Amino acid sequence: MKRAGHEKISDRQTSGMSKNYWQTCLNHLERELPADDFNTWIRPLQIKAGKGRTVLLSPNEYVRDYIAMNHLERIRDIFEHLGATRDSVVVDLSTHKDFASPAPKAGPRKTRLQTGLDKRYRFVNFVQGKSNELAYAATQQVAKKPGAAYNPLLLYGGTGLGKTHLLHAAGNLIFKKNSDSGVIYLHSEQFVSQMINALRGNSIEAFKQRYRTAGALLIDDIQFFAGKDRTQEEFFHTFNALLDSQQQIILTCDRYPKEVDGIEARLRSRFGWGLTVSIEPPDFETRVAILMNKSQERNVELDESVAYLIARRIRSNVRDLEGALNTLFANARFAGRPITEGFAQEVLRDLLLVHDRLITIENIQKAVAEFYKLRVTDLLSRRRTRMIARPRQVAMALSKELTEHSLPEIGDAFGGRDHTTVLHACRKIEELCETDGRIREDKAKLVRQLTA
Amino acid sequence: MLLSPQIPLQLEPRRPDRFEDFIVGPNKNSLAAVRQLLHEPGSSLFLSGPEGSGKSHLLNALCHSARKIGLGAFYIALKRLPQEAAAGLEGLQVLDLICVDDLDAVAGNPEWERALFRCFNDVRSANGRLLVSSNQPLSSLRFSLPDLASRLAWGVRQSLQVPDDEGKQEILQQRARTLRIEVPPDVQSYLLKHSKRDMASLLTVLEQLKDVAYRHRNSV
Repeated sequence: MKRAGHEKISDRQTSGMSKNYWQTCLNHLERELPADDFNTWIRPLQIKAGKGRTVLLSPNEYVRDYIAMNHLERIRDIFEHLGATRDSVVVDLSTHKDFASPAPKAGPRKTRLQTGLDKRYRFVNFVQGKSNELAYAATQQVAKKPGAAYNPLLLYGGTGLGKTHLLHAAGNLIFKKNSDSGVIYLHSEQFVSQMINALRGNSIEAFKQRYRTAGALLIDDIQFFAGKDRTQEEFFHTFNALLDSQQQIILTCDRYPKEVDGIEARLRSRFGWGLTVSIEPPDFETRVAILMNKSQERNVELDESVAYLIARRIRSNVRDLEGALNTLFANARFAGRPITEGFAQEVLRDLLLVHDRLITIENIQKAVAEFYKLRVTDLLSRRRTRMIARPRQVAMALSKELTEHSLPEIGDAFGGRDHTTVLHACRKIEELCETDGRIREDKAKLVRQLTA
Repeated sequence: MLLSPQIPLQLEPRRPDRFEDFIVGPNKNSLAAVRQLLHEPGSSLFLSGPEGSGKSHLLNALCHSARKIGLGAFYIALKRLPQEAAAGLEGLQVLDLICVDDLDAVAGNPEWERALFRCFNDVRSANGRLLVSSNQPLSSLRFSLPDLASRLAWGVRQSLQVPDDEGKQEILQQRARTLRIEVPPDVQSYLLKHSKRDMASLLTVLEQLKDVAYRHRNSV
């Protein structure tokens, strides 16, 4: 009993001692190494000491190996000089426990580890509009009756349009209705890296088991599977197993899945078995609604004129809108100034400029000509064959939608046409978008390309 | 013990890259935004500014402050790293704060971009904090992976301004104080007129002056 107590104290003493050594060592290294080296490699090391040993803990394998190769000898020199033995200093990998700060992060993590779901994304805080209502409805329906409605459900669209939000929202709803439903969310890259680790660590069976028996599997950004044959093979079997047992699969992709190169044909065809829905960039009204909504969520009163200003200028995606709001609110707070139109213009100057600069009628003409494999001069010419007239109308409609130019100005830019011709083109394209899937797709692609 | 190598005496003072060493000048909001990260888990900040505007300083100052309050922090300077170091970004989400310096150095490099994309996703889903710096605004960086830009566009963006000559002089003075050397005003204005005037070069000259001064044990 006594002995144990004695050991404890001496352990604590050595631990304190090696912490002092480490501090001294840090002081030396800080002066010896270039600042970047010191800050990158040495500073993040944590130290665990006891039983006459000092363990330098690195956050990952790469850092560990780098330290062992480049700095450990010098560190040992210093420890030796201070009176410790060289062998008592080792470098190792830290575990989560070594690094995690005590309480705050622990709570939400536990459920996260099981499901991978982010509770912040729900259906109620998803702003609906014309551009995403179909995706919203389909995802919600699937989440209410997993495995029964559309399987698989595949959402596709450009980056930052809300695919991930819907995916998590569906997962959260499934989980809420039944916490034993075995729903798993993950990014496709995580699937890949977990599989590689499983292969490396001889635990591939457990990996297969985990995903093939999931109650619902939600995988984000499947375009990252492209070119990864081994992963696709495994995913193919996972996919079949889940469909066989009527477990829900929801996938997202940044473009129409058939357009992703490097994905096996049999997988591609399976992606199309259920329902495939696109999400488009939000229209003006939805952008305003998103801005107002996000402001309200954060208890900031946003003047409508400011929302209009941002929504008019930032058209690309929801993330850019949120980023603009984040930047605006932060600056208003730090500068202690009210959020007026003028202040927004000042703070978001760079962001707004970029979006302005990129989209000109000229750019649109170039993009459209390239897209339809025409020359810009064709678009400006008098020729009226369908092959040229339709793309010309698309270009005009985009010019109206994406720039601030007036109809006469747009007409002028298209070889001196009348403004009524422009108006007609805009109406025609709007009409076709309702009835003709190809035109709708083409236009959406061009908008994505121009506003990216 | 006898064989142990000579350890140089600790003559030089610490490297001054703490918040209290930062000359605010025109960058009050950016400084506030950087500090704010400490109090907001799950947030991210994109900091752009030309060479010598203080990006690395702020990133390191934040890491230091984070560690002082018990958070795990990681600083990584991309411009100094070889391609294979991209693997060094794995698993960092166990930390509370990741500071990535010089994003511009790897824009257009698919391997680095993929690694950063993974890292940012992981950090975000683990509710960690992210501070990224670049010498150009986000919109000017040419990424091969648009998702990466989009993830970064999510958070707050701030740009640092380079201080004017007066500000630079103030920084030189402050740095000289921490280096414990004395640099008279006429030397300072000489430096500003005759050497390269970006802050990094000026500070390098100052370091060289310090070495000379230490060697000769006198003032500049």
